Amino acid sequence: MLDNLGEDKSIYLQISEMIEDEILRDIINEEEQVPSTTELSKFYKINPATAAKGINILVDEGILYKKRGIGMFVQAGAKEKVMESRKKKFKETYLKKIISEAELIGLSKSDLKRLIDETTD
Amino acid sequence: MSTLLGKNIVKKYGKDTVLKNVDVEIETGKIYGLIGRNGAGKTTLLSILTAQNPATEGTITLDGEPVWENEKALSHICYSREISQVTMFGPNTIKVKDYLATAKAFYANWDEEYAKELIELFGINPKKRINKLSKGMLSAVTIIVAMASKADITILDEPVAGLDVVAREQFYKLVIDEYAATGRTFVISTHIIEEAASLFEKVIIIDDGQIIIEENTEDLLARAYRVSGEETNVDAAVKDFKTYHPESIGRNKVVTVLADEPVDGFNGDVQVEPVPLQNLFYAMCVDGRKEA
Amino acid sequence: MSSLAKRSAKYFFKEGLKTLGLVLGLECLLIIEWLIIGSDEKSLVEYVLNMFMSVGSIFIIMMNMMYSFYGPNWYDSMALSMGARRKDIFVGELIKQFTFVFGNFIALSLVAVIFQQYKYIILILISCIIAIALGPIGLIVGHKVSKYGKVIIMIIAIIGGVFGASLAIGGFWMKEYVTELSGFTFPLLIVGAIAIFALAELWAYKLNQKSMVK
Repeated sequence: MLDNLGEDKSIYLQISEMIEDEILRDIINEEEQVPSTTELSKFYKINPATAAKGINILVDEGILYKKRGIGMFVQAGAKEKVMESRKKKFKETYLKKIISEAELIGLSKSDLKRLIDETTD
Repeated sequence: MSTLLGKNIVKKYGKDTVLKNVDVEIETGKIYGLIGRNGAGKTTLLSILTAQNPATEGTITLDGEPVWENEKALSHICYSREISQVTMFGPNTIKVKDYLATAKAFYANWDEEYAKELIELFGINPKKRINKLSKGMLSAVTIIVAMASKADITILDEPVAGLDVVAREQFYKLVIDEYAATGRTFVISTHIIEEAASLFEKVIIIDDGQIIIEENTEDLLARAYRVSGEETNVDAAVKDFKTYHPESIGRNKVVTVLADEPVDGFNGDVQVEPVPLQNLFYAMCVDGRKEA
Repeated sequence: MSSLAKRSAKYFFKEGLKTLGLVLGLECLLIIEWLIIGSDEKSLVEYVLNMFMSVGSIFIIMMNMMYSFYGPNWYDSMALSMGARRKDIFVGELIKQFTFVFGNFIALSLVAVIFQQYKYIILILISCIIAIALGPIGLIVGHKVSKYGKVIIMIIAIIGGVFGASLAIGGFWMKEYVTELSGFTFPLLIVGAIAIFALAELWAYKLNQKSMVK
């Protein structure tokens, strides 16, 4: 399938993360409807069961909820929830990689802190 | 949910054993990918499962009833494979429309409207003769028969061989649309693996007449890893695991690992990356037989 | 009768009609040729009619064998690949052949009746009987040809050629022979044909049961 889904992570996780990103970026707002499993599977050319799995993770985490007969909607307070869970995952998904690379190339902790200050200014 | 079950299938052609005690289970309502090298036995297995070819040993049942010469079972199945452009009498001069008319006569649930839509979509001239079709059009006709048959269990043997990338994408979209709308079972054998991998809920890998993998695609990929690094580190890290296709360049070694279950990490100073399905397949099958 | 059996029977019946149409169409074209060739004959109508009946009768036998020969590896194989059962194909071949032969009988006899040359009806009948008997032989050869290959095709082609040549040279040898028929030969022919038909169909059935899509 031709699209931007990468090879590095399970597809269903990529789907749920993508929806989380959209929530974080206000591309989709609370109480708005998200694309259906079928729409997602057709758009990304993936198995509908995979798309469903991605959506169900978010339902289990209380990010999305189902309106019977209509579809999946973003919960009130979802953005907060996503931010919280991403903060928890930040250390594993991003920080460890940066620190490991820093160690590899000989950047000290203080070097790293200085770089962060420089970059965020 | 129905199950098309093949048990202890052995197929011999003379002294040559093409399928060696194969067990396979096709559950309805899923999209399966069947991958294997040329000559691994894909087509033989599929034609045996659909009673188009007799097994030397073994049983093939649909919901417990044998498929062989069984109208009820056969009415749920469509096996569409590449049409030969030559017969032993010369070129295959049957017209596309006559070929499709035969399909319409035999497939109980044939959808003529859908077939007409697909003929237009693929740009086929129904009056053309089979031997005059390009490779792409030939594949398209195979696909049209499979899709319009509306069979519960639809098996396609290398449907995208001969299709350019645009047509291939059209095909994948067709399958998803149809699956989303009807929940039909699809079993698709293909050599173009990575493109189609995200379509397959389950994948079956056949190598040298035996099934080496029959598993949910994501579960399989969740336990596959590409481990690389300095060779002694790599060897130490993977020593308790099943490994495939080790390669070295200088002191850098790369090996594909298939663990029994997903692992949290490997011990030692090694790089660990996920493995795409095509690469996993390659690693598992490359060091087998030497033929193409 | 199950619906697959019905659909299959309908399909093979239509196939029989198609081949019937093709062969009759071919014969119509030949009529034009005979009209031209025989333009200096004393009785043009009798000449053309003679040719039509002789060639038509030979065609029943030859074409029926040829189409049944093509069956196993081509058309029947196609049906098998689309969910037909082997027994549907076996029965279907019988339907197709009977339709073709019987259709020819009706068509040719009709022509004989129209021109009030009833003598030809015996010729047509005998050809039909022979055609039915030889039909399954075509099937058997068709099943075996993949193993023994082109040699068989060559042999059949040669036999067919000799047949056709003797027709052209000998003229109306069959018609002459036919009018000499005594009361004893005819039943013998029927019994012989039934015997050949039964044995050949039995063999064809066995081969059919083992058939597969290549």
